[in-house]
Amino acid sequence: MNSALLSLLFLSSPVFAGDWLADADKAAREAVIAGAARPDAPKNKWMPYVPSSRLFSGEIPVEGWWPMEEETATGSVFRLLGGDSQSGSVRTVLSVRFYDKDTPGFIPIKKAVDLMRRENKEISRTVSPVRPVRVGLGLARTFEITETRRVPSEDGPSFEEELHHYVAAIPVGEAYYLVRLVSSRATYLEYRDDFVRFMKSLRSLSVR
Amino acid sequence: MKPQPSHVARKCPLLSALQRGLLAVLLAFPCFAAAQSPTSETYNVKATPLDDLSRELLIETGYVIRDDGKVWDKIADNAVRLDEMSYLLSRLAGARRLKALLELNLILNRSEGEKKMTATQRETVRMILRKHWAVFGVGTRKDFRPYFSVQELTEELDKIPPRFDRGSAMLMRDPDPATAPSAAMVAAAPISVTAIAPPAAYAPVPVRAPASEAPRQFFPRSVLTPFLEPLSLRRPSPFAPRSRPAELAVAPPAAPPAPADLPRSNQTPQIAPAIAALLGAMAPVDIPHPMMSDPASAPRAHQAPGPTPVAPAASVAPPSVVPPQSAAPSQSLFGSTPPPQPTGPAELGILKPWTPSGGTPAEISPPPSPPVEAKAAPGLPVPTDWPRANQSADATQAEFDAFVSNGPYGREGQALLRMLAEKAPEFCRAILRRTVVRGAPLIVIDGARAGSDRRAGFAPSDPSHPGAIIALSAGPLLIERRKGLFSKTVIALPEDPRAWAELGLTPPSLDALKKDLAPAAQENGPWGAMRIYGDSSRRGTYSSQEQAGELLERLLLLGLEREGFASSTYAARVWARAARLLFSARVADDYGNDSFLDPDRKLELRDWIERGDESDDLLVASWSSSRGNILDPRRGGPESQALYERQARQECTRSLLADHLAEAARNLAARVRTIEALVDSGLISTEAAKASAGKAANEEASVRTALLASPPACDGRFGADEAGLRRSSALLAEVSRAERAFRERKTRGSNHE
Repeated sequence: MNSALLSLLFLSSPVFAGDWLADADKAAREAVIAGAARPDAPKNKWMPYVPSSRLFSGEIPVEGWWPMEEETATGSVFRLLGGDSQSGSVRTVLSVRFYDKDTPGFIPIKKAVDLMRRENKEISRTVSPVRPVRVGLGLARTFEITETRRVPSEDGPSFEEELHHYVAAIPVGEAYYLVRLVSSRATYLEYRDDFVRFMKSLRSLSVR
Repeated sequence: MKPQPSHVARKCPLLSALQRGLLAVLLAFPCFAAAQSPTSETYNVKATPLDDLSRELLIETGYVIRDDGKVWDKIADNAVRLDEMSYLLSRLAGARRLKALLELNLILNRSEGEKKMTATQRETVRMILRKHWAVFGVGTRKDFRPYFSVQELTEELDKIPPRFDRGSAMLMRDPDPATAPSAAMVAAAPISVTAIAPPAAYAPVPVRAPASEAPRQFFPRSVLTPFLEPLSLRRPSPFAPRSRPAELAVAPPAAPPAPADLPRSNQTPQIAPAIAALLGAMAPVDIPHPMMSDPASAPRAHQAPGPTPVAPAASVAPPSVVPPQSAAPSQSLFGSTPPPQPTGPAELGILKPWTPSGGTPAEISPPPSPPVEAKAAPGLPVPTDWPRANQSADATQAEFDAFVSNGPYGREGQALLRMLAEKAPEFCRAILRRTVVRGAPLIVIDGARAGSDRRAGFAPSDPSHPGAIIALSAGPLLIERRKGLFSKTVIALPEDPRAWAELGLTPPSLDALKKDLAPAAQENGPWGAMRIYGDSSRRGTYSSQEQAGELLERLLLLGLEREGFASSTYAARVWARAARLLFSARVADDYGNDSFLDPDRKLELRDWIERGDESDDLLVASWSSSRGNILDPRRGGPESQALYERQARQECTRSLLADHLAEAARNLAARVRTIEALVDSGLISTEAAKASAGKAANEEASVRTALLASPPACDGRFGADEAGLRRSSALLAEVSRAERAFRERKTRGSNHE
């Protein structure tokens, strides 16, 4: 209740009209700077995208999401960083990975899904039933996970926050793609449509 | 029933060679295809004559060599392009090889076995082999050599060089001994990105001598705005702001222009006075900015030569300078007024007075550098492609042991450091030893000096000691709150008053924060030995193993910053965190369980081992949030950060404005959202929350207005630290290798490292 009052108090600030980073970017883009042309506003809300790792091809939103690629111990990871949560401790992250037999510590898809679906009472980790969804890469096995974590894990004050994962495992032969959307449970529905559209636009580039 | 090998396979061992050959032919096709890039130039046999075999291959497959020199493809009805020819010939040769191998396969399958072949069959095989010898690769030739006499081989067949094997896996030969890296060169390769490079004579970029090292600023900064003044104390991590090129800094007219490749610390980050004043005004407490601190308060004995910065405005003073060996947080980092020093039980830390022989602490001279053994032959290049950082001289294990025994550490500190020396991952040991021996950081067990970090942080500098002070928390400060009707939630709070001051709040009045108050009860639980107080606040206990892990992470961050590896905050944090996790995993293996960790760390370790991908995603989600403040979503990792800044240079002013606006917005979001959660949990009053949040909102609004009215001047700072970002990329690559090796060992079920 108190926090609702506080939120109302500061809703007038442009920072809280949306994600603070997206708003700051927008404000900078629209600022009038002497001698500098104002960049054009994006014409489309989605744009085609192929990561440099050529993990896939697909469409990503133009505004409010920032792509990021990384080479990790288990191969290339593509991430889309979305909006900050209400608590300011968790930013929405959409990730895409590809696992095949060459991946260090490769786990077959069935075992990997079972591992991800393991529940944990200590963090109230609960998992929804698996639901098949037809996407661009094939037949995805999708499920949702909710859990409670204390965030930030390093700093204080640190509060428990409910997190939500949309997970889609998409088999391609023995290999598989793993697509995950991590967000605060309070806001996950706001990202659902973007997640589904992105997943449906995914195509394999057949280079791996 | 156990499957039996086929009759043919049993009697004909050469079939495996045939199968390998067939497979190689099939595999070669996509490789050839990938190697080409289209051009419009056609192939001309007059300009580039073809040999007999190539002509034969083309003609027998229907290509026409015209009088004008063009090779005509009748099916596609156009000429073969220049860049296509090599691919085409390889493909045709591959097809011929495939056909030959199929013919051989047929004959061998029909025979009673290689040793029982009839003379006709053997002669047919010899004929096929002889006819197609030119298109066979090395492996196939080796398999079929027994069909020919030595004379035939030496006088005829061995004189035909293998051809058209490019792209085939079978053509992957051992490297030429003349060009292969020698054992000495391999031995000279640094074991880690952060390891000291071999002697300067072999290094692509000479390692800077410690004497010429510039002092490094040491204070927190926001990752969102690497070039901006660090507004927030919420990230007391040892990341100095990446400075602009020295030639861009405002320098006195008499000062000579500084070269662009000056050490980072010689370069003076500056900021437009008006914006600096505004940004400075955003600080929730009256804490002078490191860039705006009183220079008299900082030690000057080791000030390096270089351009003397001039304060652009009265409010902006020259930066304080820290001795090069210390890399200590400046006095101004956490305010000009030192925080309350702990008294009573909290002082039972491990800091003890220590004065090195022959001088005051400020005059600590590093032990003489051990002679660096030349492991590589002179002239050999070092097999590393990252730019070398300004590393100090390496420290041997013996030096480390001696320093730990005789240095400024008490019994507990020595025990923690010895544990690290024994169990820290190999890739980080060199920088760990250097940081301890050369940097001489103090270690105290006092959570009230750890900043907003719950387990370990950097304490304000101590005037009596120029080095960094790492404060380890003895145990978490927790408070339990009811959530709903049947459940409870545990909130972890910072102890350091600076963390509360940053939020514009006074620390809550909790019994667990009062040092003299006796607990109402004690119990053992997941947070260790727990003291429970009357107001439901609690104080747990961290195990020494967990403290050692936290100390390792802090020491590595300190070392990375000292040696110029912290250009990407994200990469440095990932590297140091991986070292801590590997250390914890090893301790857990040794102990047989992970109960030495607190519940949050235990969960982190288990997730990282069992579900590394999910753990990484959660980490990125947390670190890129407004409160996390370690990863800038716009910049990403070090490689994309370099790219981002290259692009930002094109619209420098607008990009700089975006950085300023983002930092102001992030600061406000982090502060207000934390305050909201504190109000919700009943830890602070609504009035105090409103006052603090209102102040933060007003400050942000004024900064925003000022920035939009007068955008900051472009000064070319973007892209000024590409070398540093390359070093950061190397850190990420190294940690990937270490983690990969760990996971492979885990998969095999063996112990790691």
